[in-house]
Order: sequence, then C-alpha cells, then structure tokens
Amino acid sequence: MRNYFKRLNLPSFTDKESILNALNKPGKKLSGQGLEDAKAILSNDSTLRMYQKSFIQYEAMRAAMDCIESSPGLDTNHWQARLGNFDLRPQDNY
Amino acid sequence: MQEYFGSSLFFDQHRAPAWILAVVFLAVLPADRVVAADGLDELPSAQQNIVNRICLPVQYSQGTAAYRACLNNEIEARSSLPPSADSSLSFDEQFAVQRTCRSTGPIGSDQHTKCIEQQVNLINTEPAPNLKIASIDEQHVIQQACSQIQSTQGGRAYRRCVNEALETLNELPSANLSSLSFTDRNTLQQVCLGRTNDARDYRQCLLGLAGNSSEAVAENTPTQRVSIGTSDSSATTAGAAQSELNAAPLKPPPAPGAASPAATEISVSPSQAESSQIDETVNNTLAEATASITEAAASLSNNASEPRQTAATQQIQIPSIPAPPLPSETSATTATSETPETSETSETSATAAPEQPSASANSLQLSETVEDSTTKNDTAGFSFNMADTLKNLQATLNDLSGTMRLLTVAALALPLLMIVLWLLFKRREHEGRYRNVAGAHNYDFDPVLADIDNRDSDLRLREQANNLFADDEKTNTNVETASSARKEKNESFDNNERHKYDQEASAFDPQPDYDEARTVKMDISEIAADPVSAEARAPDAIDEMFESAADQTVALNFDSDMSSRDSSEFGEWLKTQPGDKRLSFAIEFLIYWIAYADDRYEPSLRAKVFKMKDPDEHTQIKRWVLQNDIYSFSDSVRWVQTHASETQRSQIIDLLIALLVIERALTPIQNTLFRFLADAFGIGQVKLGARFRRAFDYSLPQLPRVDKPDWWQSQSEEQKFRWNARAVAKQPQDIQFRVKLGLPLTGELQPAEVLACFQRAAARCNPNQFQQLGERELAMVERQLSKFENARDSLLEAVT
Repeated sequence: MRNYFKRLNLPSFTDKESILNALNKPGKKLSGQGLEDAKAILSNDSTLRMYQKSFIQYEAMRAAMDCIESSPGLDTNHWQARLGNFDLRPQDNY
Repeated sequence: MQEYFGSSLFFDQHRAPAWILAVVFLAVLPADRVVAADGLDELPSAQQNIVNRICLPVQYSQGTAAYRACLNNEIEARSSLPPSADSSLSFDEQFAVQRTCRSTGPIGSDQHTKCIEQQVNLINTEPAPNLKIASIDEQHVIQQACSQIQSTQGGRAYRRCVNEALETLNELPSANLSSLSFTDRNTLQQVCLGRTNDARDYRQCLLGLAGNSSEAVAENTPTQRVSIGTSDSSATTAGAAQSELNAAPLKPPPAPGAASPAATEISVSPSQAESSQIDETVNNTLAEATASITEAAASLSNNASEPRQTAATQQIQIPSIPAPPLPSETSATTATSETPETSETSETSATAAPEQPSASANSLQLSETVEDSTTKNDTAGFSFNMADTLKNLQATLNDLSGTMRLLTVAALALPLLMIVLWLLFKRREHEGRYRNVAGAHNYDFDPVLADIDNRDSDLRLREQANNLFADDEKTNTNVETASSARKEKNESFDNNERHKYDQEASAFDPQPDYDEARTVKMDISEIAADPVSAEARAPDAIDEMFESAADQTVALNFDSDMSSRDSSEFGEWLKTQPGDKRLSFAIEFLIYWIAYADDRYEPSLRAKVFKMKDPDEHTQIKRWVLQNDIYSFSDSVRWVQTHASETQRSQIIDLLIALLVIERALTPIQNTLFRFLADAFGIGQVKLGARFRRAFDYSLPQLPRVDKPDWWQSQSEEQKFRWNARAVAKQPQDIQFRVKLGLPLTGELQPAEVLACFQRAAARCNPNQFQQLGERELAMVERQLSKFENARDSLLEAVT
C-alpha cells in the first residue's frame, strides 16, 4: 500500500482539509498517476476512511515486522517490501 | 596490466572510472583549447598565433564567451583573405603591425590594408634582427623588454628595440650552461630572470652565477659543496637569499658531459665573507639553496616594503658580480616564487606574450640535451605539469561567466551523476537479488504454489517481484528491522494525533453484527463477560462527560515511561499476568484489535472504557486497543508467535475467523491482518487460503489495495455494505441475519440455502477445532455459534 501521507508530507492523522490542501500543492514525491490515485482515494470520505484504517494496520504490522523476520515467521505476502514505506520515523511522516 | 586496460573488459567493468578519466581529461585541457573555435587550425600557423595573441587578453579580461567571439571574428576575417603584406615578418613583428593597424578598420578593409603596407615598409627600414646570437631564454628577455614598445609604438620601433638589445648582448661572452644539470640550470635562469628584464643584465647575471671564470673546481667530485655565507640570522630574506647564491659562484663540473653532481659546493672567499659580514661557512646542497631561494622569494613578497634595503644588501654582498638592476616588485615576486616549478613564469609570460618561449620551456628544452634524468627532475616535471594543469583548469573556470559557467558545471557534474546512478543501480540490483533469494526461501515452504506453478522458480519469483514493486510504484523498499522501529516508537507516536483519530472512531464492540439481537437477548452472564458492552447502552451524556477524562487517560498511558522499555504497556502488563492466562489475554487483544480496526464501536463505548475505575483485565486490554497502540499489537503477535504451539497458532487463526469474519463480508482489514498473522505464526498464505476455503467455500480474496482506485472499482456496493458493520446494525433484523449468515440481501430465501450457510458457520465454530485453546476462547466460540443459530432460526421461521 502506498503511503500517501508520507508523500504529501502530512502526519498520519490529519483532517481532511489539510489533506485536500496538500493534494492541491503536492510535492515532487507525488505526481502523475500516483497523484491522481491519491486524489481519488483521499478526496472521498468512505475510501479515505478505509485508507486511514488500513494505514494504522500497516503501521502496526510494521511495528511487528520482527515476527515476520524471525522463526517461525514467513513472508509469503512480501511484507518486507510492502511495509517499507511505513517506517515510523517522524521526519518521514512530517 | 596493459592488456587489461586496453581490453574492452576494462571499460565494461569500469565504466565509472572511464567517466572519471574523461572528466579529468577535459579538466587538463588548457583553457584556450577548451574554448577554441572551429577553424583556427585551418589558418596558417602565423595567423593562428596572431589570432591567439589578439584574443587571449580578451579571454582573461572579458571571459570565455568574449574570447570565443573574438576567435570567431578573427578567423572569419582572415580565412577569406589573401596573404597580407606582413606575412614575411616574424610573428612578433606581425603582431606589432597588427596592433598598430587594428584601429584603422576591419581586417581586409582598404584602410587596414594600407596601414599594414605602411607599417611593413617602415619595418623594412630597420635591419632584420639576428636572434640566433641569443639563447632562447635571452630572446624571451628581449621580447619581454620590448613588449611595451611592440604594443604601443609599432613594428619599426619594436625591431629597433630588439636590434639594440642584441647589440648589447653581442658585446658580452656567451654563458655556457650546457654542463649544468637541468635543475641547476633552471635555478640559475630563474634567479636571473627574476632580477632583470634587460637582456644584457640577464647575461651578466648568468655569467656571474655560472662562474664561467676559471675558478677552481673539484673535478670528479661526486658531491660539489656550496659554501654559502650568510650575513646574519636574517638570511632568509629575499635579498640575502639571492645574494647568498650570487655570492657563491657556481662551479661547473670539470668536464662537459660528465655526470652531473648530485650537489654543488659553493664557496665564499674570505674577502667576500668579510665584505658581506659573513662570519661563518655552512655546507649546503644546491637543493637546499634552491629551497632557500623559494623561501626568500616568499619573504620578498611579504617584505615588499623593503626593496631598497634588500638591494643595498645585494650590492654589498656581491662585489664580484656586476649587479644588474633589480626587477620590479611584481616580476621579482612572480619569478622567484615559482622558481622550483617555473609555472608562474610560464603563466605570466603567456598572459603578456604567450607565444614567446618561457624560461621554463627553455629549461625543458635544454634539459633534453643533458642526460640528467634524476628522480628529482622527474618530480619537478610532474609538479610542473600538475601545477600547470590546475592553473589551466582554474583559469578556465574563472574566465567562464554566466551561462557558460553553468553549462560547464553541468557538463562536469553529469558524469558524476551518472556514476552515482550507476552505483545506485548496482546496489538496487544487489538488493533485488537478495529479495529473490529471500522469496525463493519462502516459497520453498509453499507446496501449493510449487504445484500450480512449475516454471523456473527464478523467473516466477522475478515476475512476482515485478508485479509487487510495480504496485508499490517503486517506492523506497528499504526495510529496517522491526526492532529498530521499536526503538523509535516513542519518537514517532503522536499521542494527540492518534487520539484525534480515536475520537472519530466509533464505539467498540467485538461482535457488533449482533448488537441488536444482544440488546434483546442480553443476559447476566454476557454482561459479566463483557461489562463494557453492558455499559455501552449508557446515556450519551455520560460519554460527553468522559471525553476529557479519556483524553487524560490516553495521555497518561502514552507518557508513562514508554521510553525506558522495549515492550509496550500491554507487553509489560502481560508479563505480570498468571502464566495460564497470558495466551488468552494475547488472543483477546487480537480479537479486539481486529474488531476495532473495522469500526465496530459505538462512539459512546469508548468513553465508558476509559471512565471505568479499577478496570479488569479485559477492560484494560480494550483500552490499549482503543488507543491504537500498535506496539501492544506487535507484542501480542510476538507473544503468540513465541509462546503458542504450532497447533495453537493455527487454532488462533481459526478462532479469529470464526468470531470476526462473516461469510461474504471479509473486510479489507481482516484480509490484510489475517495474512499478516498467518505469516507471523508460520502458517503462510497457502495454508491460510486452504483454511479460508474450508470455512467459507470460496477462495480468500487477493490482498486488498485500498490505496488504488482500480481496486475500489472492482468492489460492489453490496460488498461495501456488508463490510460496514455499523450500517448493517441499523438495518432490519432480517437483513442483519442475512448478512450474518452470508445470504443474499434481497429475494426469497430457500430453507436449504439458509441451512447450508448456517452449517458452514457452525462448522467454523466447532469446539473441536479449538481444543488447544482455553476455556474463554471456547466460550466465545459457543456464544458466536448461538448467534448463528439465532439467525438461522429467525430466517427459517420467516420462510416456512
């Protein structure tokens, strides 16, 4: 899952107004089809809500990545790659 | 080695070094070569020299662009013209004529041509100078002395100046330096060049220092010693240093062609020592003397305010050598400061008169006639080249301006950028190999995938990886270990923001799809098992009153010593619980977590949870869940992974499916989390898929991509409705029961259809599947089964 908040330089939890403002002035990290997708997902209340809920889960899974990496963990869903964008360093999310 | 560098293998494997070499090659080109205009080489050499001579000052004064424009103009003007009248003159004379006639009009114009002819006629009234009687360095001195006249007074005056200088030289004997080593000869020439710009004085200086007189020389002495008298401790001043060398006639080796001595001894006679107040004799090598000169030159430049004193000292210390006039401060500084390498002289001369052979060039030519290829000379030559190269590069950059400088920087940066990209590409390629290897390892444990896809494993994995990364838009895939993320957790978790999200969340109910039924059928035991649920029906006023208290609770929970532990509060708390309850608590956390993730809360319930005083274990677990404490989640998963048996882990997955998943309503978050838990518990997606199919009789959907509009477009509105537990709870009971069993939302139901769905639901709740789990888990399964039974009964009653 793409981390739109990170690419928009937004906090993980922010109001919709801030999101819309960021979508209108996207940085270099989000452009083209990625920006169109972000607008489609984050501008709609229902999809935004689902995205935010999923976002939390990705952060949670990121925090539990050592379970995937250690025995008996497996990575049949490529979590290492999927969760790479959800590192929890604050400077990456702001 | 040579074959290696000459082979294509070198360039294939070392593209980056090749680029570096290319950059260095560009950098070492002289400034005029870098910016030279096309067509210059097509002109006669004399014309080339004139064009360069005219335009080089433009380059230094106005920049590279002006220089190039000057070149183009001069080349264009000259390329289509017949040989001019001054073509029979020497280069320097042609330059003098051209300078004089430059103001008369464009090259080729009548006025210009007429002027040239006049100047040539005037020059021819003077006899042609015989430069052969002067050495190359003496020619340089003459040309330098006459350069001012050359530029301002025309060709005739210039030729006269040269002739007069040659006449004065003709009165003196030649200075024979051929027996000196390159270093010695160069040193002498530089010293004399630095002292005068007059040809006569220059030759006298050489004669004096070279000691062409018949002074005794120790023949065949391997080391000729130089005894240089120092006047006092201030011998490091320029004048003293020069006078040291001047006062010590250099004694040539006894026989021409003999091997040059490694060092020369210069002795100062007692009389000289007395006259110069030298009271001691020191032994020194010529190399040391050269170093002394360099040091003295530096001192000279720093003590320019005392030139007269220095001159006086020289006059006193050199009684036996005709003292030539001191050069100007500028020339002295320039010439002496570069003595060891001569680069400064070369550069300066090129600026004023680039075509005139410099002293260094002269020295280099002379050195070819003397077999003195010592290491010292090689080093000096290398230093000269390096210094010259750097100066050329620096001059080029300095003379560039505006767009040209920007373009040059870009041109230099481009290869570096390509090198960086090449390195990044190599690194990414390496990481890609690592991922493939890791993926192959995982799929080795995946028998189903191995059966259904017998293609080359590498190819298959590569395709899968490509699809995966294409979906992720090639974003940063660097994955740090979770342990490192854990260390950063306290920095990253924004309590306020997280709580803001929590405030928006609805109330918690692990079994929300049964809210309405439970409202009717709530019994004492259920209330006891889930006190929060019982309180969920409290008036909304209580919720509002509790908001502030909840905020404080959240803040306290997150501020409480988080930084001092690796475990979350839940993880720490779990360690303090009785051993036989830990697994149950960890499972309970996961149940609540997945339920809360799908918004199966009523907003009021959250306030109740945080309002309760002395909460029991279950309420406390719900608090951590409501806080969205991702580290409690990770601790819960980790505890199950490390403490539960393989069977228990599988049964936990089955339990979560039985309690939380509704047929035809697997939410995106459930799908995602089950896949993750299955991997964390060592089950893998294949076994998870098999369990899912057995439980629901259809395949586990693909991993949801809620970030992609395309994925959303593939989801039906009915599917989205079934995901929304709170929306379902607001529907009539018939609809709720249909959703509960995964039946069609509309249309008449058939009893067999209802029974079939119920049987699948009941099978998922079969207590025999959870024998390795605790009593609490079994109780929850039984309660879930009763909900399915209630739905079945209600629907069958309606259709029969």
